[in-house]
Amino acid sequence: MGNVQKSIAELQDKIVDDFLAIGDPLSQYEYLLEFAASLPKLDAQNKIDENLVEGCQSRVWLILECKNDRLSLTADSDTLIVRGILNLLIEILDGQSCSEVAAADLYFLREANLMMTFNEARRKGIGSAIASIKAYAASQTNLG
Amino acid sequence: MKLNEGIVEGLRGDFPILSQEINGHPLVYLDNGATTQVPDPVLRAITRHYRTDNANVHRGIHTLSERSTASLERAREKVRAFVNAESSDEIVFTKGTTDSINIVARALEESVKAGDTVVVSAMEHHANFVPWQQLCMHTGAHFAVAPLDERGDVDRCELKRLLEQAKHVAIVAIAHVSNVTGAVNPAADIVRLVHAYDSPILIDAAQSVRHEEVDVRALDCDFLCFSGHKMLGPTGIGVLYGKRGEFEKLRPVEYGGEMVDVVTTQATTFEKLPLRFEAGTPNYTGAIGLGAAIDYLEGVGREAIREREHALLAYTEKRLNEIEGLTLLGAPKRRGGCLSFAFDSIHPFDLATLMDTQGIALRSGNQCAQPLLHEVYQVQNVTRLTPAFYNTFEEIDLCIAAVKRVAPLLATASR
Repeated sequence: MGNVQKSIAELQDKIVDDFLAIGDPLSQYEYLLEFAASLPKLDAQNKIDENLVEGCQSRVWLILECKNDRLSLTADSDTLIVRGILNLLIEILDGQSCSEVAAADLYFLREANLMMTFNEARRKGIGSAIASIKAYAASQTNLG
Repeated sequence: MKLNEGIVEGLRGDFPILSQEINGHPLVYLDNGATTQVPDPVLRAITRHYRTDNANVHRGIHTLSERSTASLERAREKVRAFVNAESSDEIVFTKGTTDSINIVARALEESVKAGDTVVVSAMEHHANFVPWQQLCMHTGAHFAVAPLDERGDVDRCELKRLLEQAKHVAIVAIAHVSNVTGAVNPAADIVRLVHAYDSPILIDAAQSVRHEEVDVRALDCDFLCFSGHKMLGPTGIGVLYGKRGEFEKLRPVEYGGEMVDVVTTQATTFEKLPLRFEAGTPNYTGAIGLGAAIDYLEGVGREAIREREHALLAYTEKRLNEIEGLTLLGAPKRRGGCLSFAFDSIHPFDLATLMDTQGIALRSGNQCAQPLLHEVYQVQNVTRLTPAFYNTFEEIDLCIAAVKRVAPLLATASR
């Protein structure tokens, strides 16, 4: 849990470097699928409508908590590619301060060319998930 | 003329879009059920019209308007001959199949009464389902859905039972070919059955028009519709055929220029068929493109196209059956045009995304047929594969090889 020792930008840069080093799109997806495989599956009691993100073609469940100004992010999806991306988001954002998450520029998907082969609906869906995380983080920052 | 690989290679030269690379692989386009590619002669016909003859139709006295009108009416005549309608008056140009079905459904709002029955089947595309469901909601008519049998064909005994039970059948609307399973309905037999109950029938020929025999007089259907973009034509143009007697019973649903005869401050009279259903400036360049697409299809040979597409699909089915864990939807008596499949543990979105990295274009999703997928087959989404005559057996092999490459990656990651 937590990557507080590294900044959001540092963690993103590492992911971007790793993906760009791979080169061809199928191998990139193979690598992304490793992240999908290692993301713990959400149990059925948490796969409820309240945790569903609206506007996703794939179903995405997010559980967001803020403890001592640190974001705790748990997530799952019914599609593997989205699970992989959610796991990357967890890698980058879990344990970061809510104010930093709220202000973060999440460029890793764009720079790692991961968005390139997504269709518009999936791009929007992932955008909705990221927007939900940032909106939650911002709401917690305002409370503080 | 039989379409062998050599002839097809030559025809592919007419479709420059096909010879490109996607993600470093040659494009393999197998999403023809969604839209077909447009050959150069069709593109040239559209460009030529804009370059030399373009003017609004049916209004002007000047030369260009006359030429434009003549081209539109020639296209109408080509469509008439293509579906073997009695008269070109029975051919209305629309925006596409969805538009055609909506026109009939809205026109019937006036005559359908509470207690009437409207019948569709469980395999319908949303476009041939929702407009009728809405018609029933607005009129109080009963919406009856004919179920499928075990193979995935329309259960004709059940259809007969629904027709028998109904007090008055307002209309039956059924697909010629399923856009999901490719099940080919015995349209002529179904028309005969429906007519025995004095009901008109609309055939959705969107998925059949390119590769099945679509002869409205042989079918004896009352309405039939299809889209240009699934038969090598441009988007935004479609056809509504209506048998004159049935067509004349319908009131126009859109009003405006072109469709009127005499307009006074007191009242308006309408044009005769087909113009009374074509309010406003029609998509005449679309119609001209569709006419050119018909010329192209006739040039290649409709029988040859039918034979080729059936052979490609049968080969695809055989090869897909080699793949472990893959389930084909339905086992209809006849399959034409398309087929859909699912893996137990693989989401179609993931599969289609990985296939795209290999240059292969498939369709994933609910295929606009949620009642069929969710209620009949109990699956959320499927992957659909639809070859056209310009696809090659080698492309099918490339597709199968790619499925065999990427499916295990996804299966492993989902464990």
